[in-house]
Amino acid sequence: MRRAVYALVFCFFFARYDLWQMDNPSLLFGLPIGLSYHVLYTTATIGVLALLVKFAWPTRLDDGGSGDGEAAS
Amino acid sequence: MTLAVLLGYLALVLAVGLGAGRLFKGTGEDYFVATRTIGPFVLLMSLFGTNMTAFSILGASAESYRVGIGVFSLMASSSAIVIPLIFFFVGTRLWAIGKKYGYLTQAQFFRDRFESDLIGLLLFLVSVALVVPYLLIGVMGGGLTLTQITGGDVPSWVGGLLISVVVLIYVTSGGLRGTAWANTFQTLVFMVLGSVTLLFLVGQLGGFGGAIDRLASARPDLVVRSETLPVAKFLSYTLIPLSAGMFPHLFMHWLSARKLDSFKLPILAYPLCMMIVWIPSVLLGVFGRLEFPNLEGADTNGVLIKMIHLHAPELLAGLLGAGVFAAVMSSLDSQVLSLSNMFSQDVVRHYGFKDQMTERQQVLAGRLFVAGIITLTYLLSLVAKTTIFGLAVWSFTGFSALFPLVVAALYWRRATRAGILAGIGAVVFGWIYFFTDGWQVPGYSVGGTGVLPVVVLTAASAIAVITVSLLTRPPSDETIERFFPESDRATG
Repeated sequence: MRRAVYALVFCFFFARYDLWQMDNPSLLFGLPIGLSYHVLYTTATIGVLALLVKFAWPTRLDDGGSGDGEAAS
Repeated sequence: MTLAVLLGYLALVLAVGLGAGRLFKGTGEDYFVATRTIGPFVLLMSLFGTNMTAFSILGASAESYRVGIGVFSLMASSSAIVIPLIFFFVGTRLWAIGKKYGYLTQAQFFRDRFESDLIGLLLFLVSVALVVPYLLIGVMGGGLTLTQITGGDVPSWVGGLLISVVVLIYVTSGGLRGTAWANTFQTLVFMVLGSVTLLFLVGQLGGFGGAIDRLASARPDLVVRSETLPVAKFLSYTLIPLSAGMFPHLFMHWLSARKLDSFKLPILAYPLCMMIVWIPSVLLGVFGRLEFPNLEGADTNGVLIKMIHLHAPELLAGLLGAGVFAAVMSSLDSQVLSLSNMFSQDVVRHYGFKDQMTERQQVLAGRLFVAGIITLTYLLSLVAKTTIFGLAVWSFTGFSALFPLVVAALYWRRATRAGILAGIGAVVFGWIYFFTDGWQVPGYSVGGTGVLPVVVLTAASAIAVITVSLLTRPPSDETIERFFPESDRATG
């Protein structure tokens, strides 16, 4: 599960490069889309990070390990 | 009235910081990392408040004034994911190692991890050199805020001086606990007042819809990104938030966490906090074009304050100005304390003075060093004429380029002392080259390609660490076992 979440984080990261709408002047939720897209992306980031914390939390660090162990479920 | 509100605010911050200082136990560990007792909420406020400075309030609004709404995508949305990931992958591990071996500074960790005094000394010197521009934007922001919000009645040197003195007093008396409490208070203040400022000023401009429509017809280039934000610049900025991984002040706050789970809230809430601060900064910056269309260069730093001064009644202007002060001071304090920490631990204690001085005398030496650094920064602020955004990006560039070092230290057993020294060398010489070449050139990029120096420097640093490490002798088995225990490798 931990590796799947890492893969999700990696893929999600690249969704921030919205190069296709660099010259799009339209509005989304009343704001220029170049701003509102990134506000939505930042909001979605919270969900992705929640998955990371839930499924990949380095519990071993509490015992002084390097943190590579599986998270407690 | 405005001035009275601001002075009242400074007195309140002083009271909070000094109040926390009454709990000071007289030891170095308590002074510098609050005996590792900071819980999740104060940790979140400390980490976030420390990272949000004049750069995020005045600098972001000024940059938005110049290049438009794309500034949010440049810094805010990338920081909102990169920085929590750094907390997750770097902060938690450094916290665990710091707790296990009693570290208080980055240099102590690197010195032990790579069995090298020289690495510790170089990191101390490089960190101090890169933090000074970061301190400078805070002092400049304080001076600018006070001058513009009082309509020019108070000269800028007074604002910078007031902020420097207040921060110096509560940091030197309260240590990290005082700083964390003051940070929490101030972060809440600037988050709430930032939102109030946005709603109030947008109301004055005829609402969001009206302001956006006016902006789109007056300056259509500012509501899209293609004209003011080259793709190479957009991509390059991804690397700037990596600086958080090597900020000494963030390292210090990580070590103050009570337990591993204290990191969960900062990781999850950081993106939300980013939006609360950056959306108002960016929107008010671009809306500033409607009110003050002809600001140039360093004058753009004050666009937000000019908007507040123009539209807000005196009492509200004072409160909103206090919000800017809060953002500035919540960063200055941690930066100042981390410098004090580094000087005490990495110079005074490490180089043999610990046997000749009591623990309190060592803390005093750290305080005196900080007083000297603040004085130097204040004097520089009197002559500096640059944009806050630009100055901060040069500081972030250096710290970002050092990021491969901490990744190698934590995750790559084969990384060697020579590799890390090569990485530091690449950053130092590369940064000096680019800074001397481009610090006075607006929109500077490498060879005019649009690629920022941070890309070249980070790549050079990573390549130097990897190549030289592979060509040199690995660290001793004892060191590897210390930082990568066998039990971990078996289960990892």
